Amino acid sequence: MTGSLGQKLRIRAMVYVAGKPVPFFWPMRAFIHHNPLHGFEHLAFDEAVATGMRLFHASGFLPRATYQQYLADGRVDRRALERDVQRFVDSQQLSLPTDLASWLVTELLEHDGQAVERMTFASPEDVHSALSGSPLTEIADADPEALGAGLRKELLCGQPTYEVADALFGTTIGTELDERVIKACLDFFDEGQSVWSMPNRERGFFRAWLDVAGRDVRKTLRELLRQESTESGDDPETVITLVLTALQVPEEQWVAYLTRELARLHGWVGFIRWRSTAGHYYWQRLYPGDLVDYVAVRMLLALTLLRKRTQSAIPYTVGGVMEAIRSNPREMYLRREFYGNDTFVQMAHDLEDAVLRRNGARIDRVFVEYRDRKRKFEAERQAELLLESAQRAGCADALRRLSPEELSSLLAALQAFQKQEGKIWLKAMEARAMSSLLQGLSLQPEPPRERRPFAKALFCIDTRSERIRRHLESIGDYQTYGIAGFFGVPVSFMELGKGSENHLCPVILTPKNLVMEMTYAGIQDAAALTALEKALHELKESVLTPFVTVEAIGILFGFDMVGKTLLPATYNRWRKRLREERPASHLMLDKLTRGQADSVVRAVQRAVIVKAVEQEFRLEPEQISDFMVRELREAALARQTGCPEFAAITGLDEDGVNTFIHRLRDAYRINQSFAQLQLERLGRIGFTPDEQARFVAQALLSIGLTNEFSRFILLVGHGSSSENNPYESALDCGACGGSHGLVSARVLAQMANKPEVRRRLRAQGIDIPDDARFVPALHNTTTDELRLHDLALLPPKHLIYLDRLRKGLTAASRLCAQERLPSLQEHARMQDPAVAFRRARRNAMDWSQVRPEWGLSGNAYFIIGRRSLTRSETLDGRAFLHSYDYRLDPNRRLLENILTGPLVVGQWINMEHYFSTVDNERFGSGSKVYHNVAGRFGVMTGNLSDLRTGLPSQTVLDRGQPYHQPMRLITVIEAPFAQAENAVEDVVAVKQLVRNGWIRLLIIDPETSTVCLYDKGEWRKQAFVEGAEETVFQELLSP
Amino acid sequence: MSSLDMSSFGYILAAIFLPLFPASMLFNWLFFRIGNVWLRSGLLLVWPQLGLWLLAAVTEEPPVGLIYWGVLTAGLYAFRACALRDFRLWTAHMATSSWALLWLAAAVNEGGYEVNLQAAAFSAPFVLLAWFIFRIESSFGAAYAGAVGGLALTVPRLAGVLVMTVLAAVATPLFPGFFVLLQTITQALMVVPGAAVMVLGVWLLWAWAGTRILQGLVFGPASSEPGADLAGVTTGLLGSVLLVLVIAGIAFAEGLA
Amino acid sequence: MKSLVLLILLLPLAAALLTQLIAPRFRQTSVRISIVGSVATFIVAAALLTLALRGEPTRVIQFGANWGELLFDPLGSLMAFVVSGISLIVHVYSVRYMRDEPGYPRFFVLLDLMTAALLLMVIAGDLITLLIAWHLIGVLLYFLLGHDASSHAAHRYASWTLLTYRFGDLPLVIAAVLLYQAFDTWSLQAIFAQLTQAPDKLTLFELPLAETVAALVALSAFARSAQFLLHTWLPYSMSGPTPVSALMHAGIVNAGGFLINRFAPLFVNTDGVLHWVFIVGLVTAVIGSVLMLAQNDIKKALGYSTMGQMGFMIMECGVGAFSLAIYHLIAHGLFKGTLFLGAGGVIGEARQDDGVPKDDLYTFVVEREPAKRRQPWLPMAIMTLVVPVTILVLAHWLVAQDFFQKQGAIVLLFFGWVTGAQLIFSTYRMRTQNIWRLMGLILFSFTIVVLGYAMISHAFDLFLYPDPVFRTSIDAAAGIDIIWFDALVILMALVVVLGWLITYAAEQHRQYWGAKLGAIWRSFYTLVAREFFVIDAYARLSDGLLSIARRLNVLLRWS
Repeated sequence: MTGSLGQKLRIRAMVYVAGKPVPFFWPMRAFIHHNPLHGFEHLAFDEAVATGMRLFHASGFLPRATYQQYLADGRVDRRALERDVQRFVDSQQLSLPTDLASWLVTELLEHDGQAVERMTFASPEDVHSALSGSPLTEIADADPEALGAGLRKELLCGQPTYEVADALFGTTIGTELDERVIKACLDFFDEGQSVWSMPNRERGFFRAWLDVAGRDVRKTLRELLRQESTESGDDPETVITLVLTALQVPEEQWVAYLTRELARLHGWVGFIRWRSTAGHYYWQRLYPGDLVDYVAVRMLLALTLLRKRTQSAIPYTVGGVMEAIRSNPREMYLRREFYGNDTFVQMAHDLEDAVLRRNGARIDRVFVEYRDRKRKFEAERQAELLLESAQRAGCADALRRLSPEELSSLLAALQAFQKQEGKIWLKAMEARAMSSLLQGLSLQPEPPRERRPFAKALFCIDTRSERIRRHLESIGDYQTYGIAGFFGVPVSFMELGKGSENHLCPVILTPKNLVMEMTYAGIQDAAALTALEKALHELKESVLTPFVTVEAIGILFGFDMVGKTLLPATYNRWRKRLREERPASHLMLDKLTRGQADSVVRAVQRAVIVKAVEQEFRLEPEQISDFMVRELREAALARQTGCPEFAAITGLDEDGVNTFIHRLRDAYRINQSFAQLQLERLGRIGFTPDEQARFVAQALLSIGLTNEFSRFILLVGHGSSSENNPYESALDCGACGGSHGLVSARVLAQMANKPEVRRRLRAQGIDIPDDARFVPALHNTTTDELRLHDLALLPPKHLIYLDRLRKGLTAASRLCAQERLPSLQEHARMQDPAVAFRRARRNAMDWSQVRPEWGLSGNAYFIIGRRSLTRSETLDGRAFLHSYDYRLDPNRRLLENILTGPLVVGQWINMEHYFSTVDNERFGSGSKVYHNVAGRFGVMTGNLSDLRTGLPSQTVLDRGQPYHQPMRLITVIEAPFAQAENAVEDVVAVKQLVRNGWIRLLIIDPETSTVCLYDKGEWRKQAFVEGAEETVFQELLSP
Repeated sequence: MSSLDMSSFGYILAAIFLPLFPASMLFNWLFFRIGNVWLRSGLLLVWPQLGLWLLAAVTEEPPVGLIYWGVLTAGLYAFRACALRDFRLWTAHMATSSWALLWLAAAVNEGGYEVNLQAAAFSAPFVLLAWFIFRIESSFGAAYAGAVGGLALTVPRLAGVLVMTVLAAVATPLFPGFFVLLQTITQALMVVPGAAVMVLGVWLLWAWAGTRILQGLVFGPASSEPGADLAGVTTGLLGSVLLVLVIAGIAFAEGLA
Repeated sequence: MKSLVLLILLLPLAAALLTQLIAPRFRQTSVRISIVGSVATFIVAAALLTLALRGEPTRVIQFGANWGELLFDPLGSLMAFVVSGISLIVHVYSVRYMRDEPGYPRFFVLLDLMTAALLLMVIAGDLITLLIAWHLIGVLLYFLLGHDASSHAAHRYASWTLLTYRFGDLPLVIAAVLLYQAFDTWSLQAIFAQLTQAPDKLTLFELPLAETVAALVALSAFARSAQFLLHTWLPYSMSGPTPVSALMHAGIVNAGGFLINRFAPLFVNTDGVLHWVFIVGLVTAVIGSVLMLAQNDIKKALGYSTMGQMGFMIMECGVGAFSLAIYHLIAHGLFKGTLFLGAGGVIGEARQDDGVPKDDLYTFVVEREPAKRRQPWLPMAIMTLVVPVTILVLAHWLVAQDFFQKQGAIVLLFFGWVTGAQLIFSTYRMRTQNIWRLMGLILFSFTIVVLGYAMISHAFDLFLYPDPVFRTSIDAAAGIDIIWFDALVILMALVVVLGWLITYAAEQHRQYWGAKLGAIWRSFYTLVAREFFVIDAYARLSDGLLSIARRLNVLLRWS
């Protein structure tokens, strides 16, 4: 039965389907903001949140007290709240004397506790009798069958068997299993953190782990294989099948079982899922590992621990538990009550006594007493809660007059309301946010300009760019645009001296072109300090040498400790001067010609041959002549038969030479097919002139910049700088795949400054005057510095205006820092821009600063339209601004590009912040104070925990209270309604997001100046009145 | 009171109040059944004094076997306290464990009221704990580790003072228990070295029992909504009682000549 | 001077009390008081150290009737300076680092109390004050590591620490009582004075007093400094906040070295104990380093590296180099404290160099790879062996002529030799055009470092143990008879020489060695990955005990 290919494929398919709900987790070297519920985006928002909450045991909304605080701060639209409550009450079709809607509203506004609790034993009738003070009616003895069925439904619906054993017998197999699995994952997926790593990881995760797993695991596997009498079964699929059958899990529940297993460690599973699909990832090519391996490791460990920890006293197979529930349902019920977490506290001791004694009579007695007292307690407590909340709402006597049926329908309604409450608060908060946004927008066209602006600047759509753009425009004759951080040019970048390619584009795109960094000065010798540090690093990493090393140079670290803590700014600046500064580098953009590519391949083959001869025959370098190497190369490529020169020097006979030639062909791959492959890889380097023109045209058109090119056109990528911060990549540019945007800016600037490209653009109708120069720049969002780059390429006459530009940029930086710093630190003396600017620089270099900047926290809006729409509004860093001119985009192609790329990235960032704020322990990564970097790619909490996905509490919370206001992304498109709506319909991904309520979409039609909102499946329109007060958009936002 | 002729009968009576194993079950059974908090505190204060008074009545030296039996009882009850989750039982078992050591203290001590003071030093923290049990049971329904957890989050002030009292109960320094144990070991090490070393083992088990109960009750995720915390005044009062205990402890240490 | 010593104790206590009192109302300003307190403590400690450096005689300050003495002496003032220094740095670091944590003022109160307890331990003049401070440090560390009140895991690991510390306190209690019974006083100075008069006094069961008490003190030091089998608490104490891990290196983890130095006059009269201390230290150092190399996360790697370093410190005490142990304690404290405080930067380093080797095709396009001429390996191997030895011997000879009488120094020389050889071997493997320039640079820096190291360790020796008679008696206590020593030296020399020859040879033809070692290496790695099964054994032991206790409770009907 096992081992057949069909069976294996079935298991692989099951694991693939089971892994779907768990989102990808990228290594933190390039932090990718992602939606933790990405696996449920095909469902409506509240449905997806409900399923996500059940699967990951998390909460999808803030506690009511926080929403009440928002209401007090005026961030919640009270009218929308009351209307939604009324709409909920109407949907319940209740015939109740009391006015339920006003009761619920008072409940929402004044009380921050629960009005109704989950009742296991008490029924609405009991609550009714408790209300009226009459004794509870005697109920017949609960027949064991119903009790057993209840238990089976709750415990055996696809739950892993060790969770059942923990729930019934108080064992801790679940936590121990998680720890052993995490240790196995750490050992295998480690990327260079440990000096000694798991031996022969090339054989894949499961097989490599099996070699070093303890004797107990191998014993279980041998027993498993002997039971099924199969031959050696060290392939993961067989092991999964065997373990699932050994645990007697019914076949139809296998997928649910696997989903629950994978959801326990969603950090590791997300990472492994991403890694197994990332073809370009070096470590995956070197040490392959995928979800099927992970599940096999986990199942085998689970079976081993179950057998060891239960010692056959505790049933651990599904059949065993079924039998146990059937034989004594009462004991099992008491066990679940005792080891669960909602024990009836008053009888906890008697429960423990009965459970540990395990004799039938005592269990029955305790069960009956437990049931009665818990029922009475639940009924009274529920009655008391209802009475309190009724008194608050002023309809206490109406409540007492309710009949039992009416009371049970009231309880059902209250229960349903609790599930809906979070959604209602969210919609009311979003209504207020939309109305405050719409009041600030203006449809007045830009006044005609007589002279072109002094400088134009293209900033990333990042929310932090909104502040610096506003200040730049306020201090001088500048015009700013918003474009995706990678400027629309997906590039795979290879930094000087690095082996891996860095994809500078959103993860949904894969770059086809490679750009390499070159220097004039060739390879420098390692500077003194780096050589010493490298030597020190090796001394620390061996068995006997760290002791004397530490003793000898330990004191020097004292300077580091004191300097970095007491005066971080000066100390770090001094230390940076010690380290050698990076040589000036040049980007290779143009394609290699065919001839150049051939010469490179030839040179590589020659070098390989020289190395081969040196290694195989121990020849000295001077003995290996070029002529001999060329002769060997020709022979290897089968363009020549004999190698007289080589045979002469090495003294080999005929077949000795032939064997070496064959070795060259297959071991050293000097053959035609590999050469062809190398040529193709060289083909990836650089861009053809057509591609360059297309990218520049695409970038300029998408932001509506086709005329009035001023002398300086700044392309401002952004990045961040912080010390001792595992989440530094989260502060960089999300559109550039988690790294800074300077390289993309330099690439586009170099392309756009090429006369060849400008000629092609002029042919397409975009005429860039000759004196217009594209200048790349980097905006450091932590210190707000704006630094220009590649100034060597500027023509001389531009240098005259350079210092005016620099003064403008510094002024903008200081103003921006002055506005931003008070929310970061509470000191009063932040009014002075210079002090704020210095404090921002100090934050970037202080290793004890857990929050160098607020980063993307507070993001709420995504505005696609001309700058004139938002020029008059202070959005204080809460909006992604993408410039777009609908007049230049008749066939909607540019709008669709904006929707597919930047909008989806914006939605991921928004959802990451949303879920990290509402449940920072499960969806976020907890506090940075306990973080422990693991495997050089991820972070754990404390000694050993799941990989922490999501944002730390310091990024989204401020002393326990949310700083980021969790709302769905409010998108505004400035375009004619038909054009915008068709564009959204054409892009399937965005259509699904809007339809399912993951994004709130507003369309502003400048021609007819109407506002349209997509809500619950249909469009609502209203005239756009500029600068109106609060209630004017009431009819649109909350009908 | 005239010296009892049948000294063994006296010892059996003393074994009830200075709890030796089978007789100690009486106190634990009694303590668990009493509901009233004042009665419980009174019981905790008076029980060992009765035992010491009975022991004083029996003039001649108690046989060494009883001393070892006392220390073994202390070990047994401390060991069992590590696995207890009900705070009332935990307090009873720890009290029994500390009083069982009084056999050794009485034997090595020259006499006079010194031992009674030591017994009072042992009992004081448990009286405070009795009050805490009453307070937790009234506001959370039961004082049961695991079911009622995360007091540090729900009632921080109560949790703070409770932690200090548990530390006092497990003989942490500057509380009298530490100095009493130190004095007993100093005097006993040369006389009954085996018993003195076993007292150290009991001390280790106390530390383990202390951490177990604190992890169950005070630390961990909050198991209920924030309840009514101690008022500032009561916290100050309890704090000053603990301070008095510390000063008594230092005074005790003077006796370590 | 009496008031200074008292002041250094009262300042942190006062800061703790004030912070706790005004915490509910002013969350931010309460922390500022704690900072001011720790700065004042540091200044007083610096004043005390300058007094000690200027040769102020050792003085005892008496408080209680027969206990409660504080001692002003070089060892105490030096350690007080280190403790208050690192505590000040941790205070300033925590102001911003812990700003968003619940229980922010409580953390600073605990920091101040811990500083007070450490200072009390360091300047304790009598056995009872030492016991109180020693016990309180364990309890305070439990609450510091368990700062996250809502996490069960943090408190489970913190209770490992508390139980190991309590297990470590008990032998110290017995030692104190034995000394009191023998000399009828608690004061350390008095005990050591009487001990020098009657060194071979007997105690319980006719055991020699000095030997047994020294063994007990050593056992207590082992538990505190995480020696093997008592080490599991250290690498698993990372569930506490990062500043606490850094503070632990200010006198909590390395209190073992301090304790042995404090009881130096006692260890002088023993002959066998120091050898056991040497063996335990050596085993711990090797196992700590081995486990460090196999850890996949930064904090546990640092934890095991600390275990190795503490093993080396205890070994230095075992070899008789007591003052070198204190110097190692301070150097390692600063070193490891800095690594812990900057532990978050690993991701930053990984972004610079993520360990992916260069792609040969693309690298060829960008950089013309220099033809790396490999030096002939035999002369390099010989140079690796000869050069470090000469430098080490020259440096030590320059600093202290009578260096070579001490056997301990020779053993430490071996470690210096291996380190020097490894340094040259790693420069040999570095990819550079001009190897000689780099080799010259590395050797030059190695010489400077060794010279500085020898001078500082010698200065420490003079400062902590001024009179030479006492110094020679320490070495005598630690020495083994000469024949055994020479045999050991020759054996070690052979092992080192052979080792390096094999490493150089292996560097040349790599594939030959790989296959043969595979099987042995795999089983060794299984052992190392499960941390020698020590942690599982302890977990099974505690689970077993708890289930027995539970069954007993049920059997005896809960009474």
